[in-house]
Amino acid sequence: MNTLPIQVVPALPTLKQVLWRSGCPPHKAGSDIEHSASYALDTLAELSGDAGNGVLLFDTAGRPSFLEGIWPERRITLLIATLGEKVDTLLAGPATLNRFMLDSAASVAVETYMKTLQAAVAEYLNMVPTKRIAPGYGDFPLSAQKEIIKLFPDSGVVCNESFMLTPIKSMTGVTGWIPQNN
Amino acid sequence: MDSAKQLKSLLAERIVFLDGAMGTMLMNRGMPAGVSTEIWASEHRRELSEVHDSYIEAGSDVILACTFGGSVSKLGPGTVPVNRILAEAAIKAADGRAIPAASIGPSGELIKPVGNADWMNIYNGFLTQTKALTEAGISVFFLETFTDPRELKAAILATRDACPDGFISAHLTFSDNGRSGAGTSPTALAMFCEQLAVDAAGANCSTGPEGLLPVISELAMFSTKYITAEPNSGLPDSRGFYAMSPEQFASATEEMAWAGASIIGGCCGTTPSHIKALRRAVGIRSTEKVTKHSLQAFTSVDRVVTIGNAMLMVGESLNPTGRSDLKKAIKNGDHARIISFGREQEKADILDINLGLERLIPDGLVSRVFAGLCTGSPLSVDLSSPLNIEAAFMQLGGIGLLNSLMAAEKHIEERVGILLRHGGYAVLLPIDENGLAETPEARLKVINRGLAVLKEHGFPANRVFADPIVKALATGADPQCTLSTLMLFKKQGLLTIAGVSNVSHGLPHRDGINSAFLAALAIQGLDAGIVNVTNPVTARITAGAAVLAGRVNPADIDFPEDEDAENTGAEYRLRKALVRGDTAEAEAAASVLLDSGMQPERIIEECLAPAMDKLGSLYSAKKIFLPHLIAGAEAARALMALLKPRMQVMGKESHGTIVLATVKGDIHDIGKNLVSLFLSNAGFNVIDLGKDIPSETIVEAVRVNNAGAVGLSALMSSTASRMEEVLQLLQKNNLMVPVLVGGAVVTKEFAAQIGAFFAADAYSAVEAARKMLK
Repeated sequence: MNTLPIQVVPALPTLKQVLWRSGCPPHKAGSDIEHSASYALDTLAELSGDAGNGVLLFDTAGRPSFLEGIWPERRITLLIATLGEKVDTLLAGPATLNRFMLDSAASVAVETYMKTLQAAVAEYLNMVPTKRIAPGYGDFPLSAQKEIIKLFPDSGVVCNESFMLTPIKSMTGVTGWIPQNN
Repeated sequence: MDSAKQLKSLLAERIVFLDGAMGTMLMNRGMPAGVSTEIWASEHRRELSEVHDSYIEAGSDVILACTFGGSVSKLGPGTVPVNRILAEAAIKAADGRAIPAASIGPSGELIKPVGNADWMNIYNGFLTQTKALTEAGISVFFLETFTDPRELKAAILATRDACPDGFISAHLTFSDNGRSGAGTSPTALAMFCEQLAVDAAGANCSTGPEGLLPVISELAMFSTKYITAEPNSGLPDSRGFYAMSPEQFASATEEMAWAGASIIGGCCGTTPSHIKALRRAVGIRSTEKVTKHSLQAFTSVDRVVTIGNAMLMVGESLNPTGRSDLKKAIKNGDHARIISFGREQEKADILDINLGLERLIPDGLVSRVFAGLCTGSPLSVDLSSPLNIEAAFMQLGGIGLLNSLMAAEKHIEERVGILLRHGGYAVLLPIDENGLAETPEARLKVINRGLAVLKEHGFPANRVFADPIVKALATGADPQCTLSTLMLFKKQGLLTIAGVSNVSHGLPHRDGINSAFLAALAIQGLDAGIVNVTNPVTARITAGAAVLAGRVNPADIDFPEDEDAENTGAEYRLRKALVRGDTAEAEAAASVLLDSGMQPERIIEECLAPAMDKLGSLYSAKKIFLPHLIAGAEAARALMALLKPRMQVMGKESHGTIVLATVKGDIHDIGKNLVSLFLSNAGFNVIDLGKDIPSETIVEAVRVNNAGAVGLSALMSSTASRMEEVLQLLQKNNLMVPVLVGGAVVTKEFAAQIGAFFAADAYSAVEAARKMLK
């Protein structure tokens, strides 16, 4: 297991992505809703310094596996990305339109962050990813979340007894890697 | 293995990557603005080859020949040689490293009645182009950037005729409003492609990947074909530059893989860097299995009419029997007048078009009438000659109905090919070579024979509406025979249709008899009735019968909107401000009302309550969305803050106390907070305990506050089990209060299992709370 020296800056989602995530088609939004979505993006931009990520690489090549021969360079990465604690503070409190839009924007932002991170790993390894999964996807048990978080002790992300992450806008991912020419 | 087979084989394994834009890449290599891309490319093979190579190197599995604008109307006599050269260039560049394919764009002409082109000429143009491409060795075709489904159909049919075993992906391009330029929805495209001989349905260009994502999701939901997504890189700025970086494009486009797309590439503004980033983001993975919704529907260019809910009303009035004005218009070839008669039946779900004795129909009238009515209600082709039927179906931009087929082999053989080619449903009559079967059992037998013949031709039973036959009472017919036949048909699971008004033919007071018979048939489950849709009673009977037959929930019946446009006073201003979520205007209008001496309780009753009802109905009808609902609720909260201090008796209006909490272990509360806001505005006294709340604390809060109900939220399956724990603890403490549950993983079934009420969202939570605390 190696820690890869990859740190990426979280890219902000677009206004349209935030509006879709909020449940509102962009052409139906109107100026007030758009203004609220813009406010959410501006807020996230100010908080970008609070974000962080980590990458662990597992090289399983050479170990006995039914994949031997068809996937000779077996590599798996564990990824973690978080927007940090400040977003949680801003999301706390009674429901308002601005809080709701910030929640929507932060949800897309952390997913975009994870994608940016994976793209950077692809560049670093010069390999093609498989589908990225996370605990809770298919039959990948949610309880694995706790084990993954243990591997990132310095990330500032914690997992509670219900396998939920804090800060709330954090996510993990597991990606397999295939050689470019395969 | 030919390219089409190769592509299908690859699709069975994983998501396939297309290339990106061609025109901008050629411009970067010296192509001047304003020239024909296809002609320039055919004369600059080296540059063209460089573009193909760059996409293959970036990871494109499929490269598209530079033939998007290679139509007859654009290239004239050069169509065949230019398309051949460009196809050969793609095949040579692919050289076993990629799959060569053709891009087919719109003809450049608009079909009548919007433009001047005849549908058949457009079809012939596409046939010339696709034959040239097929002869050059192409067997994979991407029909791209169409806006009119009628033109898309011409391209599909021509391509299939030119290359019977080819792979065809048929696309429309969509605006931000989720519709094509002609008004076609993704669902309509999905329905259309389900019945036509295409391998994939898709969307390209549009307004960037974010705008295309909901389109792709909708297509994937309703289509069993492969789904193709080719977004552009956003819209260009005033200088023609596309602002979306390859990474942004890839990040947003990857969502389409999750939404169920099997073939992904780029359109305008994308480059090999975009495709490289896309391949890196999506990676090597199989197509996502998304939940499919089985839907049967009639469609027109701009409408989808679902089969199987309430009885469909088929407008019967475009039939010259007993209509001298229509007879005259047909005789004079006055298609504008006939179209106008058709538009009078705007309430029809489907519009039946019968033009009387077909040998008397002037040349070209069938095409002109069906083309003129291709938008609005989907059409029923009530014609008998195969030539006229095909002329009518050519003009449809969606899935129509053929009225009708007799259950006789030769009769079916002559017509079923048209339905298989153009798509469509058929009305099947219990009439064969021996005439009309008389008894219900005999009618079912004849229908089954007809279905067997249709099946032999590859036409499925679920696209057939069986007609139990309505005969005129005046001829001594027994209407009970129709009802019994209908029941037999329904028992066998057939779709059904009937010409209801026939029953009163030749009798006085026809409306009353027709209405009574319509009600009887609709309650027995008739799926489509050919009726007088201009009679307002028809729609009411149809809606009422749908409820009685258990097909529609009584709450889902549409009522006319209560418009009070004439009221422009402060009360109207306040209601409007609340609906629009305009807090400042709501406060200003409320102040005017308070200053005029209006009591706060009256403001709540006459302004707030109806505004909240209006918001709810707009939200249910998807005319507004969650952020609008929240903005409205915020304005309502501001209003309540203004009114409460002035109310004489605080809490007088409370509908009861409800304890709200997100359960122990769950730290997400945005949904619960919305429920809290909505319940407060609706007049409930809400004790909001917050998130991550132990079950014991919730129970204690119920006891201390003497609450009448509890609302619990949970985001994940790992915490939903806490809900049951709360219920058990309440029971143990003899606190028999109803519990409402909701949250991302919570379902109606789960709620029923643990003995709780369920709310899917904040708005329905209010409705549920009203029932619980009644």
